Amino acid sequence: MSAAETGAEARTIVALGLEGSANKLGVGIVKHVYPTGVPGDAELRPEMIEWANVRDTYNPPPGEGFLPRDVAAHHRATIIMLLNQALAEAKLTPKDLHCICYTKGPGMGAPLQSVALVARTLSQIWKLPLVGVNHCVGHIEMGRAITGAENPVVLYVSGGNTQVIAYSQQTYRIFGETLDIAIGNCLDRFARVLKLPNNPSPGYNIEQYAKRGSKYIELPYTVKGMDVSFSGILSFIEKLAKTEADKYTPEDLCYSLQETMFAMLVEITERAMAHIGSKEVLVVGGVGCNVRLQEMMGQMAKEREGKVFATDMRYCIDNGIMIAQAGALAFARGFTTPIKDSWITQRFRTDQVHVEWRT
Amino acid sequence: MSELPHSITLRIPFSDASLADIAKQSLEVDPVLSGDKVQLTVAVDGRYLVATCNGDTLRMVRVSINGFMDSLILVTRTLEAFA
Repeated sequence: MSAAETGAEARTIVALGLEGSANKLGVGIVKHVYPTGVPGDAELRPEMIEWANVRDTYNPPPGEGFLPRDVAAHHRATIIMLLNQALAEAKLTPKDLHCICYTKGPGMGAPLQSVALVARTLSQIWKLPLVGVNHCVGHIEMGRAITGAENPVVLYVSGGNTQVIAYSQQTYRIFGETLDIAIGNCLDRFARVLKLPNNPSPGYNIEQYAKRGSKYIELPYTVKGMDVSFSGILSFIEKLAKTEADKYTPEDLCYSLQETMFAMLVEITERAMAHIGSKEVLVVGGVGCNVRLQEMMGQMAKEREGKVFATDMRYCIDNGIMIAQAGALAFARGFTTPIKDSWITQRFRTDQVHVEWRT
Repeated sequence: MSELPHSITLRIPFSDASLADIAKQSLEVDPVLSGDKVQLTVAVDGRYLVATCNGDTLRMVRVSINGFMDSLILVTRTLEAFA
């Protein structure tokens, strides 16, 4: 039915999204259009228009990781410039916005806090409601919106998180996860051992090395039920790289590390698919842009007559528009975060969010 | 709670009371870590933002005020750019 027939008025939501839970600072603006108004009882599927998605990454020198204090200083120094850039790109003024979405967690405390401070201040200056967003849910909603995946098993793989997730009853439920460090953390730290550059990202450089590797070195394969563990693999391969460097090339080590860890992820993802009876996999998070991971997932999905959905670097690496996307959906259902409740939290599990915009 | 012997008070002028109030509301949300060793409160007095820090040791006070200044500068720069 058209808007004229139902008598319902169209509704538009323009949301600003601010993300800075790790070393990327992102500002995004998204517009959602509900031609016949926001439906009361159905899943929200607005028309989505991307108006801006800008990002600035803090990269330490090769061999070093990023520290919360330095990342926070980067975010503080960059955020106003990035906000102006996003507004200019969208050709919008603050008057055109309806809400300000920011990452409430999980992530590093000091960087999260820096971004939240700006979000709170903007919310008061522009007299707009704040919407606190779970970072992981941001990834999932952006992935769904971009790929059009209907009801996928979600593999969320990044520098801080490794989770296999499936939706059920207004919750993104965690089916399996890492028992210790995240897969991206493992890759980043191994890149440091090899002194690979952090630009554009350590994981990208590992992937390039892996493409040139051919000899598979057996590494510990640690799947425990639906969960995985990466810290032992890291210790093992670090030792090989340091003490037996003459026997193994960096290329072969990168190749073997990727093959082993990705195979573990394929195994638990496939089990989750079998369990919920889904034929779709959606890969989100920074490690999700790894082409080899997408290829291995694709092969598994194909054997199950299913399909893998993935996004490119604009959306799978942390970004501002994903926060705007998830925030705008919650906002359409009436969710806002009062300033006094707008604290940030380093721990905020994916399944703690009530997904009111789905049925 | 035992007395916190060291204290510092900062009075930061804003161009008007409403901006000082915005800064207060943005800054007072985040809890100070190690809460029994150091306290930081913000208040508005006219067009002034008044920050008071009490601490167990001078070091605690210095660290808290340093962190507070980083946040304050970010808020004032945001106000400057968009208010």
